Amino acid sequence: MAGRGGAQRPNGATQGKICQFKLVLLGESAVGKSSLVLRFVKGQFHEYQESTIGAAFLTQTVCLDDTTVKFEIWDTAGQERYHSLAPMYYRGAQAAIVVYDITSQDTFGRAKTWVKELQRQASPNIVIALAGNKADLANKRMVEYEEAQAYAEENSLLFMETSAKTAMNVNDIFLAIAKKLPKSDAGNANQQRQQGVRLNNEQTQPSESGCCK
Amino acid sequence: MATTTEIIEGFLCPMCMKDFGTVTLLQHHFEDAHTSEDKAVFQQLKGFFDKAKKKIMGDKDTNPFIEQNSSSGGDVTNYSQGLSGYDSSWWEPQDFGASQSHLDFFKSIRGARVDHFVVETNKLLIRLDKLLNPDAPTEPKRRKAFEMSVVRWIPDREVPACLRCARSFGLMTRRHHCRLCGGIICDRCSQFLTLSFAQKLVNPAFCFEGEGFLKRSGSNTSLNSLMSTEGEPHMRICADCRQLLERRDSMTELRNTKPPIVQLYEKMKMCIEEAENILPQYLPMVDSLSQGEAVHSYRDAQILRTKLVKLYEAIDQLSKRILLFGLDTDPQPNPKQVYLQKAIRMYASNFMQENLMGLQNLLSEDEVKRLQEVRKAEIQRKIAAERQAAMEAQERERQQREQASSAEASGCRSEASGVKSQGHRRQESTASNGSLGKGWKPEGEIEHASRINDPMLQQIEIIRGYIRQAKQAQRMDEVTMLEQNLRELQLEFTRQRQAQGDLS
Repeated sequence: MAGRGGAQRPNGATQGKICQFKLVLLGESAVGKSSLVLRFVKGQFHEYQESTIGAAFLTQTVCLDDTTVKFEIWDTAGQERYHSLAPMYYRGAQAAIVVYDITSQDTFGRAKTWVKELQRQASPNIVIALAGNKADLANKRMVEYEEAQAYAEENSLLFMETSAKTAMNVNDIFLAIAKKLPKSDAGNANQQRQQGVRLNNEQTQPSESGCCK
Repeated sequence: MATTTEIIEGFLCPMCMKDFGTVTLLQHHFEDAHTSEDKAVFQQLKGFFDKAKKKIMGDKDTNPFIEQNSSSGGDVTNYSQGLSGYDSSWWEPQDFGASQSHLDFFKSIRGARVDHFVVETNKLLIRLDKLLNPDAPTEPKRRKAFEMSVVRWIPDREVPACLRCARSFGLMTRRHHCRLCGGIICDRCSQFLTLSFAQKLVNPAFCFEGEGFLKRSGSNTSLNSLMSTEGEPHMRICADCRQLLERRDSMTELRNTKPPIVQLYEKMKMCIEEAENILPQYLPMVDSLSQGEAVHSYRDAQILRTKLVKLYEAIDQLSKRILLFGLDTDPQPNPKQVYLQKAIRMYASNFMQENLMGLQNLLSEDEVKRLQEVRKAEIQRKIAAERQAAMEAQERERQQREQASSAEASGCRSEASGVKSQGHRRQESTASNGSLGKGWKPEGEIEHASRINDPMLQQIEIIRGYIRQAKQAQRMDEVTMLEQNLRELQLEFTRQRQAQGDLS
């Protein structure tokens, strides 16, 4: 009996609020989006990760001080032929991680276009994080840390260099996003917008009092 | 305060706030730079006043209406060009502002009108029923008295002109009474209702063929409306009553007969329902057969499969017919109808795509038999292995008992293993940073999906697989999310299809 169960994790339901966020991963193919999520969700790493078809779906909960943040993660395919799907996934997303590969300048360029597209098309208060993946291959580095850092600051993005292989900064970047997300009524914040004002509301009845009754 | 509300004076252009010194300069500037938008309106107004002036002055050489139309037509196009000069993409998309529903108001007005027409039509039908009474007199004078007893005829002297077209009555234009509402109309505004059509209106079960109304004949001998020149008995009614009666008639027609496209659709719907009934029986059957179970017989599965295939063929045929319905006729059906037809076809093909997957992989009979044997062998092996294990366990227990009675070293060893497991546990908790829950990820189901070419369809298939897995894993949150995504995908897919259809 003693060995069973492992560490008892605090149950999210008993602690304060539960927020649910849609998070989408974008970036050139083979930069390590799926590996990043797999590391975050399952703690695993596959040397030969197959390329994603369409978009993969994963969930992971993160406990911040008194809130439980549930990430609903959409890991999109980086290949060109699936780009038509991406808008469907970033449209309602509260957070996005744009991933590039630090050993390839092209992927950084592509990441910039993704950021631009998100700023134009996604919901206006989306939290965008930039992840320079494959930090374990620093000896083949083509994108300097400072360059990416400066770009991220310019566009007010969260920025970290990560490595799915060594798990460096993987949980940290997700936690940083979770901390930056608005926690009040988070789950349905985007639905409450766009409603307008209803003028003829049945509940607003004329008050009974009055001078000439 | 003073700096913000500085007062500027002079010959200021209202658009660009520049000072032009003199009136003429300002006017020139304004006409050159700003009137292009307003010119159209201005010219139109000016043209209108010019024409009006000409007409008042008695200038009959030019036809004012034609010219005015042509000039204003030109101006309107200019104006609209000026309007379309700005691009809507310059502007941010607007949020909804205040809104108010006028539905109730609309409904109350419409309700009142509908009620009015229903009551009026019912009145007409009651009178019609009375007029059709077979015992009613046919002799002209008494017939007239009878007709006047059904509805009050408006006295001739009260009406100097036709109530519909306002032609004044005289020697040439005679007064005629509508037998249904008693109103007075001229011969041009009156219609002849054949008695057989009237029968049908009063009693919908009455079988009726032929024209409802006779062509108004040239001769106006209508005093005795029962005696027709064309041989068919009829009565004179006014065009208003005719409209009401026709509307009622078309309503009953609509209620009683379905247009062919609806019949096709209903047939298709029946096929789909039947297929939906069969599928839940068939799919588990296939599953269990492919696992080598012998609960269902192979024959049953085959019979169901052929049934399904036939149903699918029927659905396919019917939906195709619906898609092409009316496209070869001369007046093309309106775009809404075509859209509906396409949507029905889309629905049918979606249904088939969704459910045809199960149909493809019914194994051959031999394979099923082989599988059954394999499974049987496996079960036997398992049973044997379990027996073996039980035997071994008994054996071990016996041995342990023997050891326990003799040695104390075994106690030390178990303590050591306890420490090891604890250490392991600690390691795990530090690795997960203390803040991560258990993540969930469906395993990739790629074999199905990679066969499909369209990325959108592929993704729909993937999501379906995920939903299945999430259901199996009892992750209801995930199921709802995925289902929502599936709906979005399907919507998007139909939209794309639509766009492609429009292009081609």
